[in-house]
Amino acid sequence: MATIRLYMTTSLDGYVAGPHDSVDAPMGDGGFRLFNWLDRRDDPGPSGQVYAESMATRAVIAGRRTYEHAGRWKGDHHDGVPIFILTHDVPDDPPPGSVRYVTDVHECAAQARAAAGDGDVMVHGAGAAQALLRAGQLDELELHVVPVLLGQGRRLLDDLPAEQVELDLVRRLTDPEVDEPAQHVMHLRYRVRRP
Amino acid sequence: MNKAVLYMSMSVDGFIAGPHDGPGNGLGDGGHRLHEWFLKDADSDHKEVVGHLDGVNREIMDEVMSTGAVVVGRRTFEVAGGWDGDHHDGVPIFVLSRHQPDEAFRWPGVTYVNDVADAVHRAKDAAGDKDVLVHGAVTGQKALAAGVLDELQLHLVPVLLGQGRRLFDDMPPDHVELELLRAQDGPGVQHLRYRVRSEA
Repeated sequence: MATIRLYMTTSLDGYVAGPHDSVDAPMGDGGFRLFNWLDRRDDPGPSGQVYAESMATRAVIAGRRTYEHAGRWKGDHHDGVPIFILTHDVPDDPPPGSVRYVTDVHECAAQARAAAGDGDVMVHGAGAAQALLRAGQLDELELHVVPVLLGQGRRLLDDLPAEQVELDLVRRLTDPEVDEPAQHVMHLRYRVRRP
Repeated sequence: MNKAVLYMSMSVDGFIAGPHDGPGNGLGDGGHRLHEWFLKDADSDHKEVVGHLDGVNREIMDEVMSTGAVVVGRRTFEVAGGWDGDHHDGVPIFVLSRHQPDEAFRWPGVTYVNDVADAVHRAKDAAGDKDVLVHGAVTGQKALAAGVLDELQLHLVPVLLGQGRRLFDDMPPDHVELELLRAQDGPGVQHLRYRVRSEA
């Protein structure tokens, strides 16, 4: 069965965007600092490997906010794979490209797994991640941890119930030699342990 | 030159204690999970139980125990019972507090200081060539804001707590650039050491 895996870049203090994020400023104030590591996404090495893995996923799940802030990816996140947008409020206009709207998180997960076949599912965005976690449908987290404290902004993991979710560290990849410290990142992959 | 190093165990979602932390429940509901990597029995005293550790976890705990002074927030200090005035080896303890202490929390090796920079500077002097152990979320944040924190040694525990007290919270929206100096994967925990890049 396809693995549903969150891919998110986060600061060490857990933010995925700076403060005041909006459609016009999707990363919030100063939040683009988090993406410096993507300068190296096509290089050999850990960051290139992780990025290539993410682009090899065969379906995408995202929340409505991420979707709108990303300009709906013009209907194509990568390679035209199916995109499932988890939303309470389905837009009236028809979805672009390979996008489908789903209102139920379990249904969303089931459809994405089926669509991915023997590939994996990429989850993107804090809202979708939290919804899938709460529903017990998130299998793995691939966190790109950037060595910076943003101080304020939008958190990746917030307002979750006070229930412990045990994880297993599957893999840690770090760029051993990065000349530009701002491009440094540590990729941590965790598997969510089922009770 | 010795360094001021924040040592804290943290969940992947950034918590250093569970919800409802306070006197008698120092790590909050379920927060003892964060200390399981070094305590067989998370309710027991840290000084009694590090002997069972080996490998990376032992190395890290030996580092903690070889620091030459402690800077700690009053809250952390009091919920820990003041460690009975001795965190390890009788090294000086500087407690960050705006108020004078209760009689119950006075010991010869314990000094109350109301300014974080002052506390760190005095602790560095007292520690000689050894590093200073900084402990507590609020104290860590204040030390960062004051520019007197040199490094962070985080013990990242593979668990989501969901709710609780965060290590980094209510900070100013100023970026603090860090450099990952060392990452070690121990049983049940990852030890990440970052340097605060004050030049950045």
